[in-house]
Amino acid sequence: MSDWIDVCATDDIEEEDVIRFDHGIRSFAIYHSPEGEFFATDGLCTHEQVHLADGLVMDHTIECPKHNGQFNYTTGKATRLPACDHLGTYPVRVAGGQVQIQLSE
Amino acid sequence: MMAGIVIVGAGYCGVSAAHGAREAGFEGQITLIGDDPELPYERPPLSKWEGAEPRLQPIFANDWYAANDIDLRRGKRVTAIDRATQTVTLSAGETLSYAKLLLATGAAPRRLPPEALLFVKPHYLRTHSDARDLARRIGDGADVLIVGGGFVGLELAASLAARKAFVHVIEAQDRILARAVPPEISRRVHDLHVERGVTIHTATTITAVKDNVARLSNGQSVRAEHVIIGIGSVPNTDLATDAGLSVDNGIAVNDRFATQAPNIFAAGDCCNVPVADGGRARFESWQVAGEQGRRAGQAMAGVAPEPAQPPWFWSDQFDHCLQVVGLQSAGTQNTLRPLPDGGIIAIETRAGGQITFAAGFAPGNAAGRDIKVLQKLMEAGIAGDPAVLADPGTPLKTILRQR
Repeated sequence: MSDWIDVCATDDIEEEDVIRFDHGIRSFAIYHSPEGEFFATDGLCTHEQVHLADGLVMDHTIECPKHNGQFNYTTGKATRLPACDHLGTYPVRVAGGQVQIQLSE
Repeated sequence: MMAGIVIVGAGYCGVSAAHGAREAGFEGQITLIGDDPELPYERPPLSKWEGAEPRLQPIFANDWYAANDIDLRRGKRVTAIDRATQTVTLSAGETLSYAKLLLATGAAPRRLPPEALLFVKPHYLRTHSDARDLARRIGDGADVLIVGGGFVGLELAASLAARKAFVHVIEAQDRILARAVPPEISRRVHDLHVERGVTIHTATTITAVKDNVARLSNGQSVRAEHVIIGIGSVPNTDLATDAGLSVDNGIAVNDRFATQAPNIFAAGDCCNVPVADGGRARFESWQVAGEQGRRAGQAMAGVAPEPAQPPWFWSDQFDHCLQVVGLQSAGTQNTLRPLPDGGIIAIETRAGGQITFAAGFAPGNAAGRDIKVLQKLMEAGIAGDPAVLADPGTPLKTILRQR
């Protein structure tokens, strides 16, 4: 079993934006979609280990701030080179005004 | 054997062309020929060393080529094109037929004239083998002279300074990166290098060399165990010239990357393309090489190439990153946008607020997001009020949203 972990308050992430969330040695990117839903992916670009939270969110796309690789953050799918490998995604829920992420070990 | 697409050059452009043709639905044979023995790799890491040696970063894993039915021929050179028979000849004497041929032959480092090579055998950087050779020969604490204050020279200066080498950069212009970025960005990059121990001599040339000591036009003398030449590149056009194709600072192509021979295409550093303002340009950038390759692949597959994006590139300088998008032009207004952590973006706009160029320099990737928004504003033709562009309190994305 794995626990739900608090990330931040729902209004800490603007719509169509992203924040970085570090937990232990791992880093995640937490997204707030234009429709108001929350999503979580691995925090580092699969191309060169750059923090995606410094990148640009447009609709459901996160663009890496360094080399312009793109991912669909709702599925983790790499959608533009140089990103080839997909991002891991994680379950997210909102409970008591908090965005929570579920991590499996 | 049915003739398909033959791609000469297996750098980022050639590989992107193969990828682009397959993505566009091309089902015929694709042969990708590169003279480097390695699996096709990214060139940007060659001047940006993180460890003891430059990384060899493959563009795609080895099994990608078979999975996409791309016949990769490594370590093979194309020596001639026969337009009449639609064949190319390889160095081993083999001939290959093509229905469509792409020249993605890249560029080679510009050489100093022979009379300037007075002291040591100078180093040039183009291949992974060149970079590995540099990293192995130049030890910690070595005296290194770099001729040329462009991106490659400065990235190497940063890589070597981080290894405790004593680095001098000689630049003939009155500032580094003079052709590529506005003066404010040149100054910031210059200051960072000086702060980290690199000595930069601008408006300076080498006047004489004796016993590994270079006399400089500014009166100083510099001892150099190693000399690296980074004064730009020249397009590899010999194959095209020998085949009777038009060459003018690169192989001349139209907006679908076709040469005057409709079944011969050229893309990447080796080609000269029409650009938005009605002129022509040859680019030397990773993103442009990949994009032109992909678009040429689409054209060869018989589909209309996707539109060109504004040219973009980045350069790592120590722990800072420089990102540039668009093309510089005369008669634009220059606006400076400060970033929260000491970075800055220089933005050029036309009279109506149309954004034509931006260059950002900041620690880490702090300029990345704004540069990407500026690129989207350029692509969409959305004007930016210089007062808003200069205000760090207004996220640039709000301009994009207000359209």
